[in-house]
Amino acid sequence: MITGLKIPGRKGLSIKNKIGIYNKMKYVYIPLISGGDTDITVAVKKGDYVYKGSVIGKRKGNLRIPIHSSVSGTVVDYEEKFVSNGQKVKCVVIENDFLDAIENEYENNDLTKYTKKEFIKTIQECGIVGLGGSGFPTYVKYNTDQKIKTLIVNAVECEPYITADYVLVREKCDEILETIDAIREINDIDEAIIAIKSHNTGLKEVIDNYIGTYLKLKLVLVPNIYPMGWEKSLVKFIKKTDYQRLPIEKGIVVSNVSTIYAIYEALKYKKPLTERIVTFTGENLKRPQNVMVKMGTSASEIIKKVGGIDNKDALYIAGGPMMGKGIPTDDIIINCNDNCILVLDNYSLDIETTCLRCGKCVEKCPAKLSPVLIGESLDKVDRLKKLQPTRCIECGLCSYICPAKINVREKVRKAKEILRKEG
Amino acid sequence: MGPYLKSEKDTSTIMRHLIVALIPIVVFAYIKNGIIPFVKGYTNIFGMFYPLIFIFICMASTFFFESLYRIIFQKKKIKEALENSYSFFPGLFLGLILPINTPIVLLILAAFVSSIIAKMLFGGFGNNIFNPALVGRLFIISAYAIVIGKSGGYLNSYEIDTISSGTPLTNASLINGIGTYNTLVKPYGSLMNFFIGTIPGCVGETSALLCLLAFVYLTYFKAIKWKIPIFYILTVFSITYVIGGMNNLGIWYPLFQIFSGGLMFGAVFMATDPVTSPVTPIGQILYGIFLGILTVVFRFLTPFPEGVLTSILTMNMFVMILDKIGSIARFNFKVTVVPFVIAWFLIFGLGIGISLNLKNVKKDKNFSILEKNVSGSKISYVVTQKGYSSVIKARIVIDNKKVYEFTVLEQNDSFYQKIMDEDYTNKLILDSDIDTVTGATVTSTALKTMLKNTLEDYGE
Amino acid sequence: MKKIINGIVFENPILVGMLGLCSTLAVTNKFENAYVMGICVLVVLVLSNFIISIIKKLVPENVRIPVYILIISTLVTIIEILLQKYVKNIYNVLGIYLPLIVVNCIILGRALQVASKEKVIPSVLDAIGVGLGYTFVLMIVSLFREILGSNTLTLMDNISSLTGYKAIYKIFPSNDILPINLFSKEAGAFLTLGLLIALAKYIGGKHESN
Repeated sequence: MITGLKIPGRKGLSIKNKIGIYNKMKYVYIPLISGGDTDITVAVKKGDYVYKGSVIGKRKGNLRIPIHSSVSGTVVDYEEKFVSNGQKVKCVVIENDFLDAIENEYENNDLTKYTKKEFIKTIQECGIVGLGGSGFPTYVKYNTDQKIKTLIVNAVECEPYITADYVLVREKCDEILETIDAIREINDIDEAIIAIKSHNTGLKEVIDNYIGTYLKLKLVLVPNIYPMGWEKSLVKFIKKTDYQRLPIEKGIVVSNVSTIYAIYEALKYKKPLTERIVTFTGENLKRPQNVMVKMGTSASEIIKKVGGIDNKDALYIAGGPMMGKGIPTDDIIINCNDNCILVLDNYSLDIETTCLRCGKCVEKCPAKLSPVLIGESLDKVDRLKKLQPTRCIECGLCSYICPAKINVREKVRKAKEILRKEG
Repeated sequence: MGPYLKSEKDTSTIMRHLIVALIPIVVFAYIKNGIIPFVKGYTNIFGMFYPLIFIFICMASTFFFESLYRIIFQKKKIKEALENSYSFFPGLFLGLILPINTPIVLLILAAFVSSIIAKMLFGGFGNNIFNPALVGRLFIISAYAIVIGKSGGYLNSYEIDTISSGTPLTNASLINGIGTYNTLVKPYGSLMNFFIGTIPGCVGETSALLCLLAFVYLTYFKAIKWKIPIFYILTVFSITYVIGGMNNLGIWYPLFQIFSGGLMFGAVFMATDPVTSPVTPIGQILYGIFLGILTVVFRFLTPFPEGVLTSILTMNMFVMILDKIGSIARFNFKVTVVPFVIAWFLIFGLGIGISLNLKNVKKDKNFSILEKNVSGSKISYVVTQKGYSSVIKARIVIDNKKVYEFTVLEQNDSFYQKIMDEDYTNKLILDSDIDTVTGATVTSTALKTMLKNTLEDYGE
Repeated sequence: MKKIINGIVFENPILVGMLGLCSTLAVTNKFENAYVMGICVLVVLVLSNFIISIIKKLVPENVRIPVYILIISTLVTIIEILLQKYVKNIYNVLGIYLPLIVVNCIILGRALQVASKEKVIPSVLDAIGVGLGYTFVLMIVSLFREILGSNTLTLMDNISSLTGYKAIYKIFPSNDILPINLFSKEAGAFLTLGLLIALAKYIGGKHESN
C-alpha cells in the first residue's frame, strides 16, 4: 500500500492545446544558477557575440556542468533578476538578433553507436540537468561503477495543473522510447521501465502504438495518488524495495521523461539544453497552454502572449500548487528547474483553528513522519531529533488535509531549520 | 508559501458527521425511555418528553458554562465566545450516558464538572487530557450513587415494574460474571434484545445495532479513528471467548459481554474522541488493545462497576507514551515488539487465568446448584448434595444473609426418618453449626454441608 | 515581618514546595483536625528551628541529619505525650500522622535550608511563616472538604476536654446535592488540593507577568 491521497488534478485546463512556441523576446537573461548553486564562472564579457548554444558559464566544484545561451546575439550587460526560488540572481543579458545562428552544424548520430564514456561526455558537455525540478547534472547519475539493474523513466507528473511531461510524451513518443532503449544498451542496464498514471488512458494508447518495437521496454501504470511521482514512492511501487538516500544503492536509476528527451537531442544532434516545455495555466489565465520556452525568457512576456490574466489581483506561483513557491511579480526568468507557472486569483488565507489531533497528517505522510508531534516539540531538541523531520520532502499533503486549516508543513520546515542550526 | 490547494473538509464537517451519527441514538433513547413507558401507561405526557429535555439540559448547561468561562477568564467578546466552540458536544454525550433518574440539579453539576474542570481548566478545546463527558459521569456516579439509587437507579419507570433485577452487568456481577444463558440473558429477553437495546441501562448507550451503524457511517466518511473500536471490541471478544470456552459456554457469552455495559457506545464514541486519543496508527492499535484488556480486568477481577468508563479514563493518561512509541515505530518497526508481546501475553494470560480462578470457586464435587433465581438481595436455590445412599435435593432461600427456607424436596437416604423426627432442617436454619443426628450422621453432615455450600455461594 | 509573609505566600510549603502532601490529604476531613495538626507542626517547627540554629556551629557536617532528626523526634514525642494526656480524643483521631510529623519534609527541609545557615531570630521568624502557611492551606482544604463532604463545620469537638465546650455547626439544610460523600474520602482530597494548587499557580503566574 502506497501512502498518499487522491487530490484533484485540474489538468484539463491545459492538456488539450498544442504546444505553443514563443520566439519574440528582445532580451534574454541567462541566470547564472545551476541546481541552486550560484558559484558559476562566466565565460563571456560585455560586447561578445554569442551563438545559440555557446557556453556562457560553467559550474564550479565537483559537479562541472556548462550553461549555454539559448539565442544568438550580443552580450550587453549583467543584471539581477528574480528566479523561481524567490532569490535575485545575476543574469547575463543578451540582445537577441533573431537569427538563431549556430556555431557548428548539428550532427546526425546513431544513438546506439555511443560507448559509455562518450555518452557521459556528451551529456555533460551539452549541459543536461534533471528537468523534473532538481537541476542536478544528469551525467553524475549515470557515471557510476555500480551495476545499474533498472532504469525507471518518470512520466507520472502527479502534481495538479502541470501537463508539461504529458504533452511532451504525446508529441515525441517515438523519440523518447528510442532514447530509453539506447540508454539501456549503452549502460548495460537489465530492464527499462516507463511509468505513467493509470487513468491517463490517452497517453497509454500513444505509448502502446510505439512500444511494440522495443522488446525490452516495459510500460507500468501507477495509481492516481499524490505523490506518486516522488522517487521513493515510485521505486516502492514498481520494485517493491526501499533505499536510504539514493536509488543507486539498490541499482536503480530514476530519470524524468523531459530529461530523456533532452538527452535525445544531445546524443542525436549534439544540441545543448537551451529550451524546455513549461505549462502556463491557472484559472486566472485567459488561454492556458503549454509553451516551448527558451531559457532566460521572462515569464511576463509569455503570459502576455497567451492572452494575459482575467483578474488583476492575481497570485503567481512558480511550480505546482502543492510544492510551488509564491513569487512576488510575474517578471521572473524561466530556468531549467521550472515546469509550470501558475496564475490564480488572489485569496486570503484560511483562519487557523486549534488542532483537533485527528491524526490525518500522520496517516497520509508519504515519508512516514508524525507532523503534529513535530509541531508540538519545536522547543525540545532531543525529542525533535528522534522524530526525524529531515526526512520531509515538503510535499504539502499534511497542510492540504488538515481539517483545522493549520499550515503543518511550515512547522516541519521550522523544525528542519532548528536542527540545521544545531549542527 | 504553503500549499495553494486545500481540502474542502474541515472541522465542522467532521462534527456534522458526528451529529448525524448520533441522531438515531437520540431518537432511540427517546422511544425507549419516553414513548414506551407512556404507551404502556407508566408515565404521563411530561415523562414522555423527559429524555429529550434531559439531553437538552445537559447540552445547554455545558454550552452556558463554557461560554461564561471564555468571557470571564479568556476575555473574549461575546460573539466570539459563542461561535466556533463545539461546547455542546460534551453535554450531548453526557446526556446520553447518565442514568435517566438523575435529578436535574445533578445534571447541571455534572455539566459544570465536565466543561469547566475537565476541559477548560486544562486549556480548552484541543488541550484536555481526559474525556470530559466521562469525567462528569464518574463524578456523579461516585459521589451520588445513593441519591440516584433512591430515585430508581438506571431503570426507567417502565422497567422498574417489569424487570426485577438491575442492569445486566449488575446482575452478572452477583454471580461472578459466569452463568448460564438462563441466568444472564433470559431475565431481559433474548440476545436480540441486547443487540437492539431494549435492556436497562443509561439513557442512550444500550443499542448495539445503532452504534454499529454509526461506526460504519463514520468510517466511510473518515470522521473517526476507526482502528480503536475495532481492536477494542476484538480484544474483549477474544478474551471472553476464551473464558466462555473454558467454562463450556457457547458463542452467546462473548456477544453478551460485548453488547452489555455500554461497551459499543463507549468504543465508538467515547474512546475515539480525537483530542484524547493517540494520533499515530500504531498508537491507536495499542490503545484499543489495552482498553480491551483493562475492561475485562475491571469487569471480572474487581468489584467496581463501570468497567468501560474507568478503562478509557486510565488509558487517557497513557496516550503520550503510546504516541511516542507510535511515532518511532513508523521508521523502526522493532520498537513495537515489546508492547505487542506484553499485550498478547496479557490477553491469553487473562483469559486462562480468569476462567481458572472462577472454576476454583466450586470446590465441592458432591454439591451442585440446579437452579438459582436472583431478585435483589434474595436468592432462592435448588441444590443437590450427595447424601448417604442417594442424592438429596433441597430448596434453600436466603435473603440478606439469613436463611428463610430449607425444604428437602427429594431424597432416598436410608435413615432419613431420624432427621425428620428431630426437625433437623429447621434447626439448621436457626443455627447452622449444631451437632449431627446420631444414627444418621452422614445424612445430617450432608445437609449441613449443603447449607454451608449454599451460604458460601450466596456470599460471593 | 517580611520573612513571615515570605513563608506564607511565596515559599508556601504545600502550594509551592509540594511538601507534606500526605498529611494534608489525611487529616483534612474535619476543620478541627486540620487546625490542630497545623498548630502541632507550627510548634515543632519553631522549636526545632530555634534549637538547631543555636547549636548549628557545634554539629559536624557529616552527622548533621541524624542529629537534627533526633532533635525533631524528641520534640514530636513531647507533643505526643502532652496531647495524649490532655486531649486524648484528638490523639486518637490524628492517629499515625502525629508521629509522621518527624519525617514531614517541611520540618527537616527548613532545618537544613534555613536554620543551619542563619541566626536565631531569622530562623524562628521563617519557621513561624512556614508553619502559618501550612496551617492556612490545611484550613482552606478542610473547610471545603468538610462543608461539601459532610455538610458540617466542626470548630471544637474533640478538644472540648481542654476548652470546655463543643461547636459543631450544620451549614446547609438537607437537600439532594450535599453532602457529596466523595469529598470526605481521599479522592475528594486529591481533587480539592489539585484545584487549589492550580489556582495558586495561576495567581502566581499573573503576579509574575505583572
